[in-house]
Amino acid sequence: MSFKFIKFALLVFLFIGMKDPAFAATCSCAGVPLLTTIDTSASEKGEFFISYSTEFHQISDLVSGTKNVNDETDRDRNSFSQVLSASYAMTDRWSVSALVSYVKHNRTIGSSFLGKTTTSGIGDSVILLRYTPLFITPFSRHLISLGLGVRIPTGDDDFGDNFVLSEDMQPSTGAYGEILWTSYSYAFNQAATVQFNTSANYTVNEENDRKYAFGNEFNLFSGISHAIGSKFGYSAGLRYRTTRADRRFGFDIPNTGGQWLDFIPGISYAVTNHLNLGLSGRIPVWRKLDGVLQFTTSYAYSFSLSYGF
Amino acid sequence: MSSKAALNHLSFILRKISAGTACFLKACLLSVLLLPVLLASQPVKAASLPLSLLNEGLNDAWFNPETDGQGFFVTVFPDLGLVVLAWFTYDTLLPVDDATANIGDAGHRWLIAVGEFDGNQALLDIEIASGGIFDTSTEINRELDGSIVLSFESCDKGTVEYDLISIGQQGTVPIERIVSDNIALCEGLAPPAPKTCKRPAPDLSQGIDNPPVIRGAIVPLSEVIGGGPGPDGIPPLETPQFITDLSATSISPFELVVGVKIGDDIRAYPYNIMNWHEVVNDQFSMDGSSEHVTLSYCPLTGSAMLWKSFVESTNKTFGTSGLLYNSNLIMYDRETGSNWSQMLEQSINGPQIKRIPDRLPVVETSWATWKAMYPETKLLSERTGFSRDYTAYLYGSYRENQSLLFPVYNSNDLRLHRKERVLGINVGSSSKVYPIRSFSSQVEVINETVGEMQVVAAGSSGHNFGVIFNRELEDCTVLDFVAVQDSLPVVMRDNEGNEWDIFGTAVSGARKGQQLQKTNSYIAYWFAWTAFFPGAQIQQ
Repeated sequence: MSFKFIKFALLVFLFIGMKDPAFAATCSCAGVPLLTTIDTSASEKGEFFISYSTEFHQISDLVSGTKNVNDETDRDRNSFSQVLSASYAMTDRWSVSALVSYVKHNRTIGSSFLGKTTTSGIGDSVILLRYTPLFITPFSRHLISLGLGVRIPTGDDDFGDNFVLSEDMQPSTGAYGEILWTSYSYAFNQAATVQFNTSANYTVNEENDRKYAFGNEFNLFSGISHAIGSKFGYSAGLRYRTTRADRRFGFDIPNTGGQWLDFIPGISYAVTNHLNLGLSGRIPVWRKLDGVLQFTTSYAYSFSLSYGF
Repeated sequence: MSSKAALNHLSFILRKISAGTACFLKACLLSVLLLPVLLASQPVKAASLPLSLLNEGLNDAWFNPETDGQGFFVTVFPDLGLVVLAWFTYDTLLPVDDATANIGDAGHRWLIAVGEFDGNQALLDIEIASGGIFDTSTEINRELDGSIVLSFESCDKGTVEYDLISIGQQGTVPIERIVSDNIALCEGLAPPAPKTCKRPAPDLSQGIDNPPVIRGAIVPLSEVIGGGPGPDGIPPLETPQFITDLSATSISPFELVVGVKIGDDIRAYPYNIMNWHEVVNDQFSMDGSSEHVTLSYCPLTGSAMLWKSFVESTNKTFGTSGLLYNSNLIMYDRETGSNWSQMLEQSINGPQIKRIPDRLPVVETSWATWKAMYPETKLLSERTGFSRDYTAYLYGSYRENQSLLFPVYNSNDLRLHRKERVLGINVGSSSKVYPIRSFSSQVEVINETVGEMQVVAAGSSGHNFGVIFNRELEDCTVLDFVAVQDSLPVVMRDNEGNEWDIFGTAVSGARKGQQLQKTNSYIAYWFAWTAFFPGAQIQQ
């Protein structure tokens, strides 16, 4: 069994399974799942991966606590994000990943005279430094990786034709964030075609210029990935996510924060030894949202493409 | 006597004068010659009352102290509505050295003007007579030579504004009496001046009148921010339903309501519903026709307003813009899309910029109090067409804590708890607040002056209300009030014995049916009031 095959099996997980957003949508809806798309593929010294991904995120469910509520305002809210990501292994154990994002937010309230609001622009960026003390190899079935990162507000956070739009409609959070990241994988067989994967991250969100801070959040993903031959792979997992309430001037913003459990299925296809495609979705399973009423994720899907050198 | 007949009569008088009827002219000349002596012996009264109508008390010799040796005779004919002015003056240049005159100076000139008066002003035609010889009957030529506006600001001061065609010259001559004897007569004959009082009208706007427009708005655009939900994301109620069978309601007696009384139509809009919708587009019967109104309540600033819709609008409704200024609701009108600041009660940008809505009174109080005052009231129904839990409060502990959800001006003014409900009033640049909880449990009335306005504030912490009116009436009477207990909606009695209700309407006494003037006042959270109107005094 070659290292290349094992690497493909890992990619199935990395590409479509490890959907751990650094932050995501709550009622405040801002949320470009940056860590979802950051490329953490490079694992051998000198390897360089570059990837592009897009995600469509529909945010139209109106939820009170755990119950869905009818929304008679005929609201349609979604975000479309594009992320360019790269990773480079400086040594066999140390690698660095980085991404930049471009975000478009759409909001239409059917009953409104004023109709549709759209914003778009460069969003936040992330740099993540990873240390991987343990790899899956023909001689080891465990992978452990640890990371430390920073989210950088590289885009606009004061978008608006005349007035400053709310934070959820801004392409960028306008604030730095500190990221702790870890990942563990276990290969059920020597070829590592079937793996259990789990990862977790915690992000501390700072205040932006308008003294607004998205709530700190924790994500935990666990799932199974299966590589079929050297071309196809699929994965399925659950992601638990919890966020604190957003804050302004240090005070909690009502109706933000909560807990989410999502089902995340995905498939991948290796076009060549260097080029991989991935498709994944995010389907809410359960959620318990803080406050009385929040708009939150209805569903999301993403497509990704990566190239390794 | 008609004006024409009067003019004919005056013409006769003038002919007499210009023909040299001695007494009149002689008296004039004598007055002018004796002027310095008279001035020295009889000081002129410094001032007298404003004069609203010319009268015969003005008939006298007048002069301008700056032009020695010249003067005027004024004769008012009240029954004719006419004034005659004789102006004894000189030519525009000194006579040449060899000029001669048999009597007096060769430069002597006299002008006669006559015309009707209106109020304290008369418009006179100047007539120049020529061809006469001293004490001899001759044919006299008369020519019009311009006009004079004669006006009197008081019984001892006036002005002569002349426009003389022959010399192409205009000017104004201030005049005063040579002697003051007739001032008393003039003042005695003057009709009493209309009583003037200082009752200031409420300002046009809660904010600055006629504020400057910068970048198309009257508030800094950078401080108008999106609250999150977007336009109409907080859905206004467009066809509100009302409950008349109050026994079927489950509303807490302590729940605050926005009470509206227009004629006999009385309605209550509970906060617990308004928190979710913020705007209700409703209709009331006014003066026999159905009028659109918009009731708004901002849960972040605790302020409620009722605006009458614009007559000219096809779409008379307002929506929630999703924007906030000083954390306060900004509405938009669906006719033009203009944005309106609720607490400024003014359009802040868009086609309607600076426009001020026609405001209608509301009373905010507990449901128990409102229902007790107006048992016939209707109550806004929870059957709104929206799936909302009206038993839940949307904003957590916001009402109790010091939190701010959005930037506001003057946020460090912590003289009161930020969420203290205050009744605030603006009069010119003066602003004052009365914390609702600082009123006594029973009805308390405060008579005082805010800015230049005499106001009366009535409130009760027990009943959770506060209202404020101008206590100076249109007839300049300033009333003093005392509280009336246990008679709601009657809250106060004035020093004339009239009783007034919570909407400022006299319900008994000689003034029954009269309405105290509205003021620029409403209830809001303290942080919001001091954000919009920094420096407000606080009632202790």
